[in-house]
Amino acid sequence: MRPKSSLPAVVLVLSLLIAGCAGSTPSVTAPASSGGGGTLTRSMTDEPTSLDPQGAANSGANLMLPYLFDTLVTRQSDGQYVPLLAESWQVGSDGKTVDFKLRQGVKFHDGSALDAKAVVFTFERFKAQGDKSPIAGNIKEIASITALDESTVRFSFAKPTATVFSTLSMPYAGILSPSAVAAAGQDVGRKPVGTGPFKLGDWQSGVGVTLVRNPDYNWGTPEAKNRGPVKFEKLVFKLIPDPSTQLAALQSGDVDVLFVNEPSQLTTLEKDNNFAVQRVNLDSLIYLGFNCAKPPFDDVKVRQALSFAVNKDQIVQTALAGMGAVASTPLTPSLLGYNADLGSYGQGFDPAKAKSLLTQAGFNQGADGVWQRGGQKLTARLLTSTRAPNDAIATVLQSQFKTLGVPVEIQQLDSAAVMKSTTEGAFDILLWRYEWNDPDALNIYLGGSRIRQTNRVFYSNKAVDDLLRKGLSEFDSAKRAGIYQEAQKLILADAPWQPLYLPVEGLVVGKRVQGLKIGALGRMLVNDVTLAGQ
Amino acid sequence: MGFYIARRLAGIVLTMLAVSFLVYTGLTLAPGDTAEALLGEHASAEQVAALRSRLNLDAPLPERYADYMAAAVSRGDLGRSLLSDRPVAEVIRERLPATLLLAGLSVLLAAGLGIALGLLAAVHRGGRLDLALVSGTVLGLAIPPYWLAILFIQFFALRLGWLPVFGSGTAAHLVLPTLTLSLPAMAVVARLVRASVIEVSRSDFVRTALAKGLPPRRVLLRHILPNSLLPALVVLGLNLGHLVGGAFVVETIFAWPGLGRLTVQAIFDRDIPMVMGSALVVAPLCLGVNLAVDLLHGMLDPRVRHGAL
Repeated sequence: MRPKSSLPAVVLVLSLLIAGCAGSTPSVTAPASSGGGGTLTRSMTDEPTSLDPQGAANSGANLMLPYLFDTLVTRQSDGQYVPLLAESWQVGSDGKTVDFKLRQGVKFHDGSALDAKAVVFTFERFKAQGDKSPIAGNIKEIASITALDESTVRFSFAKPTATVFSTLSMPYAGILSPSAVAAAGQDVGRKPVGTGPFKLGDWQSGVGVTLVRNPDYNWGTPEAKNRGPVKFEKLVFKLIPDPSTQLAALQSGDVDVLFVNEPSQLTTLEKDNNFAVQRVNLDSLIYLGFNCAKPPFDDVKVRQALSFAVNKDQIVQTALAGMGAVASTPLTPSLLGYNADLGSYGQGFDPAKAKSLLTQAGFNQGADGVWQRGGQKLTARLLTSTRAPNDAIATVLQSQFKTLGVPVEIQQLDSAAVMKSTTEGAFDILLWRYEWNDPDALNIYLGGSRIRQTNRVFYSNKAVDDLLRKGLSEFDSAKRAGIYQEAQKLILADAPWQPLYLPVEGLVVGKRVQGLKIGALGRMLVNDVTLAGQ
Repeated sequence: MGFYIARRLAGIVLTMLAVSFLVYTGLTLAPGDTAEALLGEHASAEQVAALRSRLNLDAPLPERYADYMAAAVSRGDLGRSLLSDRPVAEVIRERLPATLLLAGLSVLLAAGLGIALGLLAAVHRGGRLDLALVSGTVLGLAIPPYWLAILFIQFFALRLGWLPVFGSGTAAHLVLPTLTLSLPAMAVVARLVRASVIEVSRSDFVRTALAKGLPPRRVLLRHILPNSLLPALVVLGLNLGHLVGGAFVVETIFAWPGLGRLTVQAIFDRDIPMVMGSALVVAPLCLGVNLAVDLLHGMLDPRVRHGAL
């Protein structure tokens, strides 16, 4: 071929390449249909992997499941369990059975009726194939589920299990329509059918998910004023992975609701008259964990000393620019047994005490200011994930420990790798977080039987374990709270964890949206939402 | 020519084997496996072990790799996502067209505009236009696409309101992502074309052409330009891999429904079949286009075809 015809050839090849893909251009992002009450739009960072409540969960699925599925009981933002699909319940005298009486007249999105059989079907399916679910372990504790009559279901356990309400209130425990599951076959994750206030409308991979109002809904959470159908037609989740684009989408009016954790962005939005900004406390705790099995951190004095060296106010002010509340107890405020006063059993900021404890533990400060014992320098590796703002916090902690005379090296890995390292014990100090809806969290993360599993810090104290076992089988709220308070006192003194802070996020809402509330675990309650101009 | 193509195709097959093996082992040997990534914070050891055995993560690595590749090669079966249980091929079919559209348009824009601007700069070399264009290419190369994308959104979408902030569906949605993605390659092409046009225009045959009275415009377009395109073409071909990588970033920022974000998330989730499927589709595409570029190069320059270069 002669050189003069080369340019057309290049163009030809490239246009063929493009023609090959042009046939299947992705279609338009769901247009806001204004008929019948309007559309509320929010962004999501991750697309749901699956909307099968018993499948693998991710942040996208967590966002959507509560709108598609209802649970037997629901947990209010004050931590109380209240009826949803079950109108009442009765705990057996031995604490090993709980009977739920179902609400009458509830229908699934496919028109079939909710009855005891559907509930039994849901949990038997869960036990058989729900092994990817975050609550698979809790579901396995249910020994059997039986229908006592058309509208009563009995959950039986091998031993008294007070966490049953927490488990059954999780969005993963939503009740499925047996006929819809049979019809969907392997596609349950793409064809979810529940009893929730919204049905699945349209799901475009990589673009977003549209939920459509369930017009028959009249069994809403008592936490909302409106317990009937929601007052707008569509709830749209647009997939926008990048935080700066999410902000731009809010400013352009493409989305109505955004959670913001960047302080400078929040300050800008607070000055903007188009938005209402509310600071929301998230239900999770960021803590510092010490490897209690590894010298010298197996010495309680060393753990306490390092804890006394932590200045939490400084972390919140400098690393978080105020987007957090200082925490002093292992349990978060919405959990039963939380008591802010217990902080006095732990370690506040006290550098002098830190030094005297190190001295008591047999350390002395070398010429370079670094503490040492028997020629061995006291140093530590601080392990955390790459997730923001962990790097900023780790850096502040590093400087605080340096002031004490303990050089700390920071190691950041992705979450899966951090979990692997911690179960293997390959760390000294861990900067990590938890989020759970029951005080049994203490057992999950600090119980002796969970070492090398979810107890990542190798902490074990028999007195604590006994209390946690008692708490697990105590159904009386007041008594149960007392048990977990006692456990927290012991834990705080042993200092396996130094609680750091509770994260705060800004909920930014477009002015046309009224009545948006935040429920337990940061869930967005839309039952009372009205959209201006509709 | 036939032998050349056969040799290259064999090379592609070998490269694919290497890619698949590296991706599979890399992901498997990375700390933390699917069962742990999936079950997260609250999972007990029994729960993780049970899921691990159901997902067949306990089997030896060579065996799992061989099983996967046997199914992929013999039946075209890329497996199911460990997370969503959906067939990987189906998920990729949904997302690949958007990535191809974006990458293809960007190559076209980079080539077309890059050649035009390079030529323009060469013709006006030393002048103000040349200076402006050359400085522009330096900027185009120096600005990270991530930052550029944010600037574009702020200016064209929010300030001027001309274009949508994010998403897909209309031609308008394509403008900012394509521009962001093509700019670095466009800058490279423009600089190369400018340099080689200047170089070629000093050749003897150009002087001859001008001397025998051909109009300078015809000499430029028919004699100089075709001979100046070779380096640009080679660089475009080499840049294709970067373009696909860049597409992953650009897709994330503009919420473009392509393969990029999907693959990145699958890596964090240790969703091996999903990542493998993605690699097994994208890698041959890149290699294929590279081959096509090389063949074009051969057509333009017989020395390459005959192995003299």
